[in-house]
Amino acid sequence: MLIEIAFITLFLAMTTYAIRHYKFTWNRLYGKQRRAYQELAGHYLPSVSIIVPMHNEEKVAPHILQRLVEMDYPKENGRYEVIALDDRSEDRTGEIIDEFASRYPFIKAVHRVENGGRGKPEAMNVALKFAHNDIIITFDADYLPSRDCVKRLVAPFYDPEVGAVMGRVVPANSPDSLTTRLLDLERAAGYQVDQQARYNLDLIILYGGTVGGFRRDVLKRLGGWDETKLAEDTDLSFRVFLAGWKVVYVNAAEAYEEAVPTWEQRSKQLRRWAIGHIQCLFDHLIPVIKSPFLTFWQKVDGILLLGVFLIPFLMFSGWILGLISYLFMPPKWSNFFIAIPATITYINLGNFAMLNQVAASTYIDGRKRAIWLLPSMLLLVIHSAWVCTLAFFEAILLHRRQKKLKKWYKTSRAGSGFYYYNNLKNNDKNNVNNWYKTQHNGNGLRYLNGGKGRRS
Amino acid sequence: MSLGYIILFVLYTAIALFPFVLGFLEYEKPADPGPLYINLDRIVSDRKEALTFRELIEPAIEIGLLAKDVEDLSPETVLRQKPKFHPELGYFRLIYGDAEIPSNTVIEDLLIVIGNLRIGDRCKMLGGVYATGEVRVGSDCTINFIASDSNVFLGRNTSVERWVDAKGTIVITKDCRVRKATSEHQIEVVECCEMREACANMGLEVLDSSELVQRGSKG
Repeated sequence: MLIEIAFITLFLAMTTYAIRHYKFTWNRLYGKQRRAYQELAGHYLPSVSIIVPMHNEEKVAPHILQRLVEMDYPKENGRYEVIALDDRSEDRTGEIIDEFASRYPFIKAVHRVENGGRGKPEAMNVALKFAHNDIIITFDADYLPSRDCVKRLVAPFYDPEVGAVMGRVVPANSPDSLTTRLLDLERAAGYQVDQQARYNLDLIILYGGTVGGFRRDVLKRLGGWDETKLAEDTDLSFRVFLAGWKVVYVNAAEAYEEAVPTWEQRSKQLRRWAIGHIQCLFDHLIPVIKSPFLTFWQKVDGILLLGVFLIPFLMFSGWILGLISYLFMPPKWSNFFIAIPATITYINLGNFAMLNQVAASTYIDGRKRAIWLLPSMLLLVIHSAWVCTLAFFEAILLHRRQKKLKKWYKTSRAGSGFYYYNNLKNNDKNNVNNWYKTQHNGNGLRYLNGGKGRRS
Repeated sequence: MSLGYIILFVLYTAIALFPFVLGFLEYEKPADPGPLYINLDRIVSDRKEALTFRELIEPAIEIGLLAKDVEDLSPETVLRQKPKFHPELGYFRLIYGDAEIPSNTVIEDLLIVIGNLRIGDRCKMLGGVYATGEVRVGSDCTINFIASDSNVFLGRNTSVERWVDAKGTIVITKDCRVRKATSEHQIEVVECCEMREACANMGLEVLDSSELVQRGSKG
């Protein structure tokens, strides 16, 4: 009986998430798209502080700082400042920051030397003390933002109800390995389809900790980043929503990142995200349900979003339960008739709904053959199921012991993102652009006539 | 084990592995080898509304070029029929060839003309207008926005609620109200018109009415 109840619960949970994935894919492909105040980009130019926290980032620090120097934003009268924070690096990061600060007056070098907790949220809170402008934008050290990125990110703040924004992240080092290629597809689905659809549908937008920003007043009022959280970005997104502010997703504000190139690094990163997310689930589930500011569907989406890292665990549990029932439960014809449609539905909805988002994103981005890698995404699914299951138990133990994880959970950078970007630039200059460029397939007639469309 | 089982086993294995073989091929000899292209040097342009719109309109122009042989895209037919729909553009009407919109016409959808467009007096084009050729607007019209790959001429007392963008010259006559005008060439304005923003590669020229009349008579 217990196994039957567990099966039904798993089936319902998987189906709910699957419907959600389908809804997002459908909306992104065929729904009306919101443009995130982009008509105001370049017209509304509030004062901006860019925070870049760094810890042993000598391989990538010069690239992000150079991109921020070249950013298309008025830099006079302190309207644009970059707070480059070196959090006790043991390599040349501090020197690189100092060198840039000596050359460009709008770059402030902050060296954190005092004892205390280590970690990105703590570094961000220290940097926040040095940031004096109205809008705070954050970039991780391995990011390469486009020149219009800041103008596009600040435009939504023209609306006084907007408290935070988030831009799009694209892996620059996707050719590195199979892991990076698969993560590239996963990111594309996450931003191009998932975040954009959630914005279209007025649901919960997640601030991803980078290529995003806040009003400084909002950050101060909320007490900045929570240093006890491993997913401080998710936590902050929910706190912004729960305080009654709007969060906007700007698909046109794009930046390259360096994705983790090995499964080992991916495991570490995913574990941190999963534990952090489950921490947020414990803290924000009840406030989300009770919130007077969130709409009914925002609450539904908020709950599903908080529980999103439970899905790999549920899926893993489903496999184990399936195996147990196959090996040890006596077969009954009645069970057989329930099992067949349930399995078909589970496979069609549960497993493939997420892959639909990936497929939709490759289609929207106009990639030619990246979609051939779609079946290989099962590797990511299996890997996530294992890592997130372990993280689930770890998060519960941490929660019970009220223990705080306190160190830099740092992703090491190879700096290869910049290498690929340079190749890309040279390639573009030589006008041999088939290599990387988004291709137009010229079949507009079919899509337009059928009420279907391809977006960029 | 019988041969049948072996064949079945091989068949099932092949079917199960086939999608992964495709993935392996793409991984080994990628057709999409690099990262997704982002133009990192892109900056926000003064013509961004128009440029964004022009990007969106590209598929619609493809429609015009492909559908002209199989569909009647004359102004009379297109204006009588139901508009087409596109998620980004909304409802739109597409005319192939030069078009003349009669006076007092109201069109609620985006009008796309592959050719020259002449709009009569007192018309309301609430969904905006795009033409690959010249756009000449009569007097007392209200238009959401205008984009042209050639020149634009706005008649007296015409109001453009959002923007006018042209690859050629934009002429804005007396008592017109335009929120924003951008041109790859030049903007010519006559006194007494109201304009909040203007941007043109060859600059802005302010003319008096008589000069414009004189030019008009020269054709």
